[in-house]
Amino acid sequence: MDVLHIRPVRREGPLAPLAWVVAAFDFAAAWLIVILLSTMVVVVTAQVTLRYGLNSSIGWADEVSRLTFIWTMFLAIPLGVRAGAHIGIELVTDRLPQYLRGILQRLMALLAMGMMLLVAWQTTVLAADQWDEMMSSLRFSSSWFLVPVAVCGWHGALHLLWIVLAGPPLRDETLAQELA
Amino acid sequence: MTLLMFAIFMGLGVLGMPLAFSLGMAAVAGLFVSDVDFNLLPSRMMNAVNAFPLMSIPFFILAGELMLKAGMMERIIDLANAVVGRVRGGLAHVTMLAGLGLSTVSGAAVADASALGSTLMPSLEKHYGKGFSAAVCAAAANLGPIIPPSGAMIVYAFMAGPTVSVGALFMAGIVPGLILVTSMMILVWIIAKKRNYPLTGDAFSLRRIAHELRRSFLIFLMPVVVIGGIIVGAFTATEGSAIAVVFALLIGIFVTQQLKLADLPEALVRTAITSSVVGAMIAFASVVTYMLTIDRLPLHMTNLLQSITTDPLMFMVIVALALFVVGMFLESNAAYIMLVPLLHPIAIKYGIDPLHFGFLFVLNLVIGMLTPPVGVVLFVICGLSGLKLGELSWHVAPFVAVMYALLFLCMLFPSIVLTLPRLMGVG
Repeated sequence: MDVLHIRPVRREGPLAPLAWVVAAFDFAAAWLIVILLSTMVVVVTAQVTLRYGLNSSIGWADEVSRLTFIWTMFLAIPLGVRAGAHIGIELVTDRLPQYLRGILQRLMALLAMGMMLLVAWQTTVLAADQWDEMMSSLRFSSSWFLVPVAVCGWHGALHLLWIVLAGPPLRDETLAQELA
Repeated sequence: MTLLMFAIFMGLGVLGMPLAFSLGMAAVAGLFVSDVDFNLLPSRMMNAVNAFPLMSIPFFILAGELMLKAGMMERIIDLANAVVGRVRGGLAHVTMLAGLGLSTVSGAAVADASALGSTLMPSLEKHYGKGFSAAVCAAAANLGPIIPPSGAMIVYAFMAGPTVSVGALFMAGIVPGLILVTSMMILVWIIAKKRNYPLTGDAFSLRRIAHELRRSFLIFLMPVVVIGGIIVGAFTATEGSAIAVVFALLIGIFVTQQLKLADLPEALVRTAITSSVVGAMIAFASVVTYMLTIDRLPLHMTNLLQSITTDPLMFMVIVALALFVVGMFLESNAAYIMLVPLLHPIAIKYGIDPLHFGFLFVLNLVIGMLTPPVGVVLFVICGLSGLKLGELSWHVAPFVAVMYALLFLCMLFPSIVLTLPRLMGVG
C-alpha cells in the first residue's frame, strides 16, 4: 500500500460515502505531514547552522519545531490504523477461526473507537477553554498544541468506525515490518 | 486501580487490540474509577509528546530511510565482503559486519532486519541453508538498537528523565556492541567450520579494501559527525539527528545520485507513521503511569523489591529475569514506556549507576526481540524467509545465548559499559 496514493477503499455501496470521507482525511493528513516534517528538519537544522555560522539563533525555533512534531505524530496515528501499523499481540487471535477473528477485530475496533471519541471530545473542550492562552514566542493560541490531539481522536475514530462496519484495513506488510 | 488497569491492558492486548489503544483503554478505566478529571487525558497526552528530545526518533528513522534509498546498503556490503568475504562462513560474516555498518546510521532492529533480510538472505541461503541464514540476519539486525544511534536508547533516556543522557547511553553501547559482533562472528566461524560451509568471496586484497573504504567513507562519516557532535556537546541529540537527515539527503542526491526529490514525500509519511506508533504509546502510557503514581505503585514496588533483596546485583538479576519474561510477551517500546519510570528510580535507590542500569535494560529488551512468542525481529525474518517461528527460534538460539552471556558479563563488570562514556566525559 503506497502511503501517499490514497484512494477510497470502496467507491460503490452504502459504505462509499464513509470511504470517501476517510480517504479525504487521509490524503489531507498525509500531505500535511510532508509539509510539517520537512519544516521540522529545516527549522532544527537552521537553528544549528545559525548558532555556529552567524552566532545567532531563532527565538521561535524550539516552539515551532515542537508544534510541528506534535502535529506530525498525532496526524500520523490514524494513518497507522489505516496501514495496520500499530503493534498488537496476535498470538491468540491468529489461532482463532477466520470468522471469530473478524468479530473480535470489529469488537476491539468498537471499543477503541469509543476511547478515541472520548479523547477527541475532551480535547476539543479543553482546547476551546484555553483558547485565550498564548504561546510564549508566537502570537498564536497555545491551544494549537491541543488541536492535533483532537484531530487524531476524530480521524482515528473514523478509521475505527470503518473497521467496525467493513472489517480490518488492508495491512501494509512492508510498513508493519519497519516498526521499531 | 493498578490491577484493573493492568488487567484491561493485558486482556485487550491479548484479544488483538493494538497495544497503544489497550494503554488508552487502561488509562480511561483508571480515570473512571478514580476522582481525577477526564481532561487530564488530552493534557497529559499532548505534554508527553511535547518534548524536543523525542523529535530525534523520526529524524533518525528518516535519515536511515534516506540512506537506504541512497544505495548505502550496497556499499556497506561491498566493504564487508572485501574485509571478511573470504573467511569460512564469509557471507555470514559479511552479514554481521553489514549489520554493524547499518546500525551506525539506523537505530531500529526491525528496519535493519528488513533491509538485511531482503538484501542478503537470497545469497546466504544458496550456501548455508535457510535456517542458519535467517538466524544470522536476525542476530545482525539486533545490533541496531545497541550501536548508536538507537531509537530504544532515546526512548529509555526520555522515560528515565535527567539522570541519563542520550549521548551517554549512545557511548555506553559502543564497547558491548563491538564485543557482541565479535562474539557472534566467532560463533559463526565455529558453526561454519563444524558444518564445513564452503569458502565464498574473492581473495583478500588490501587494494580492494582501500577502494571500498573510499566508496563508503562518506557513509561512515555521518555517524562520526552526528554522534561525535552529540557527545562533545556541539549539538543536542535532536539537532544531531536533523543534521543526519540533511547529510543523508546530500549524500543521496549529490554523491550516490540514487535519491530523487520525488522519493521524499513517501519517505516522510512512512517515517511519520513508523514514529507515531511509538508516539501513540508514549501519549497513552503517560496517562497510565500518572494513574499508577497516584495509586503509589512505585512505592509499593520499591518496598516489595527491598524486602526481597538489598543487594544491587541480585536486584539486577531479578530485573533481568522479569524483563526476559516481559520481552517474550510485550513489544519493547511498550515495555520501556511502562517499566522505565517504575524501575529506573528503584535502581538508583539501590545505588546502581543509572547509565549502567539503563544500558542493561535496553540490552535486555533488545534480546527480547529475538525470543518467541512476541519477537518482532523474528516476525520480520519469518516473513522474509518463510520459516516457522519455532524453527527460526531454534536456529537463532545460539546467538541469543551469546547475547545473554554479554548481558551477564556487563552486569558483573560495569566497566565494560561505563568506561567509554566516562572517558568521553559524559558518563
